[in-house]
Amino acid sequence: MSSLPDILTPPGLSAPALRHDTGFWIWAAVVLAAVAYTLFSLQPLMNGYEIAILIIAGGATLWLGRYWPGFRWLTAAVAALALTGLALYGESLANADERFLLVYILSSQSAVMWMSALFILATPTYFAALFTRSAFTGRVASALTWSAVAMGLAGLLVRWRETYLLSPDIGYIPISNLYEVFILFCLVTALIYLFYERRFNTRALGGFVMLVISAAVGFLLWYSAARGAHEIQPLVPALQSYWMKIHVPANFIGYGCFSLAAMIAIAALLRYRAVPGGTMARLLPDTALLEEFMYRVISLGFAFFTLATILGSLWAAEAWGGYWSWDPKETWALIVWLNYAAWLHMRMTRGWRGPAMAWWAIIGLFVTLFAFLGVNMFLSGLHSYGEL
Amino acid sequence: MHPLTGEGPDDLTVSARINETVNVTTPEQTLRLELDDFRLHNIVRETAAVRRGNDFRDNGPSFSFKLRRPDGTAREYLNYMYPVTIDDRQYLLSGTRAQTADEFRYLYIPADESGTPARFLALLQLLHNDQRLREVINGRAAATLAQLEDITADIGERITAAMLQILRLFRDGGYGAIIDHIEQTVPADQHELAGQAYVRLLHNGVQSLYLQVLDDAGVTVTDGLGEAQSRFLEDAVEALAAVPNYGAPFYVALTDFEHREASGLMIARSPGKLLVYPGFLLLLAGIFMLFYIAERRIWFELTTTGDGRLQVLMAGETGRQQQEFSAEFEQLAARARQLPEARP
Ligand code: HEM
Repeated sequence: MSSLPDILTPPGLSAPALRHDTGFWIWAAVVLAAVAYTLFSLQPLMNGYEIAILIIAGGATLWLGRYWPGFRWLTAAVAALALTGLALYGESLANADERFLLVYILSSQSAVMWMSALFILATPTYFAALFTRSAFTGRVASALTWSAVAMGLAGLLVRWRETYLLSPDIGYIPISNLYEVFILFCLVTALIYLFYERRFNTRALGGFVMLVISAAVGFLLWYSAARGAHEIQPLVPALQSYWMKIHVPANFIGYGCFSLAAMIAIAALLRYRAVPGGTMARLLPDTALLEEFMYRVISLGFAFFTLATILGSLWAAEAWGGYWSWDPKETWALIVWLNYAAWLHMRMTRGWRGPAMAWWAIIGLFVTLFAFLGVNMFLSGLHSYGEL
Repeated sequence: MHPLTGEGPDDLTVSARINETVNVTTPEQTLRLELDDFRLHNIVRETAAVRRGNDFRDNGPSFSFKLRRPDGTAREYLNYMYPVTIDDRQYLLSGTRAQTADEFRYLYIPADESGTPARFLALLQLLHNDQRLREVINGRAAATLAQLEDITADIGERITAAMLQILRLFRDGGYGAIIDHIEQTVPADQHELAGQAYVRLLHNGVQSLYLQVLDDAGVTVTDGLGEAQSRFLEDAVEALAAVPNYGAPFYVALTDFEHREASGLMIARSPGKLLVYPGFLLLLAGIFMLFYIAERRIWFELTTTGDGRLQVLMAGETGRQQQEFSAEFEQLAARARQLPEARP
């Protein structure tokens, strides 16, 4: 009898034995070559942090791709799109209006529009797949979602370059304002969903998850149409920090997971209500899977939220000289963290299951939303703006 | 600081830093000016204005502040230091809003040749100085009228009086005040006619004032206003119409700044660092291990049945990753079933 699965391969994350996984090796060779090329060609320009980030990012990419073939295709598509975009731009931002591909597809704004359209299309497609129980439609929905992620990610990478083309001293990583961060949110949520779609082998929940992503896309579209939010503005100095480059994505993995959990919770609530043997019961996965799904994304979100909070406090220590100063944003981050810790405890130690946990996950999303948006809009305003 | 009403803080100059407040005393009340922010660059994308498309442009430094009234309410303002070019005309922009949730609404102050609001402010001053206003209208406007035929001195006087009244209405309430006035004094079927007549009077009046301002500034105007000058006049009328809604009795211009990138030096000592950083690492490693190295337990109970065969009873338990574990458990069980029958 062969040995039990090794510890680095969590159950379910199975992949063909390395020896036979030719596809992986080809892809890994390209990724390694890209990392090595970057490392050697840009070495003089990089400092220690950047080298460390590059190596960790390369390693994480390899690890994800090892167990997740879809991710390999994604990296290939994004690299091709982004590199084409950069090549078309050359050294001049004006090309955004002249080169056909940039105008319609690859300039960051167009790419984000594509992402938005694809996400919005994916939503009804997933629901259609759910109700018609058509495996083909389901695959189309997944393909739409994958394409949306590829366009969005490529768009962000191109935008990164655009900020530098605008003026080298303006350049910044495009996860620095609300507009960019919403794009990141859509991408992260969709990616985590796609990961679990494969793990749990069900597309039944896609429509629910796409609802929250479509809502974010709706906000994004409104925000750029009404407020011109897509315009690149220089960053305030306080935001120019290495910590931010990892703090923000880590936070958004957390937010993405928590919103995913709330969407699964909606599906779960429908499933609890379903008449045994009825349509709902046949269409939606059984409650054990839904509960497990919720638990998994909440725990992933919790872990990354912990990481984000730690990074945030390191950043605060560097920028303001103290790890924690109890400003409203920090207090609410703590509330979110404790809320999900409590959720996890109730499940693990009390063994709670059922509708109460689903409702809690939904309420959790509102708490998170408040910590993310509400605090900026209401609370920090209280002491700085007064009755304005 | 330039007064937008007749009296006010006479062209006062203050210097303050961001986050500082300045008390500004106007005849009615004392306002607290709270300086909020300063931006060195305002990069915008040129869109509809220029069809070339995505040209980026820097509108230069801007600063924002709040004016807080004694009752604690405030309005927020966003002023640009240099004129911004829109459709080939230059404006000094000042945005204002009453609530942070609102968008800024801008006052477009036409800039004069040297890029300052001085000429517009002079016009405004003149409008607010009742005595000079009367002089100018009675002098200039009347002179223009006198040139026209079939206007007797009597009618001319009535016209200048009406002009003065309209100018005052306009000064204090913008177009709204004129409309109210028409609605109150003119029969409904003549509203439109009266409106047109009033607007013409208004324009002629402001034009007279403007000519006076140009004169005062030593600009000679022969042969009517030049193109740039008449555009300025147009813009000035629009800006004057907006001033009553501007919410502040004065306009704050930025004349000079010293931009300090670094806000200060802070020295923090963190003796706990040696403990805190590894603590962070442990916490993180712990959480990820907790979730992702799933603890699974499997029991095998071997018993011998009566007929001497070995019976295997399998049981498994896990807290996390139950979906995957049950699949894994099934696989193990299937494999166990395939084992060649064991003999005691
Ligand atoms: C009174 C204090 C606490 C007690 C007695 C306690 C107890 C426990 C117990 C018994 C478990 C279950 C372990 C298992 O079955 O594998 C657990 C899990 C856990 N605890 Fe706590 N805990 C406390 C405070 C906290 C706090 C403050 C946090 C972080 C905010 C936290 C985070 C977690 C996490 C993330 C898990 C894993 C849950 C899961 O795997 O779903 N705990 N705790």
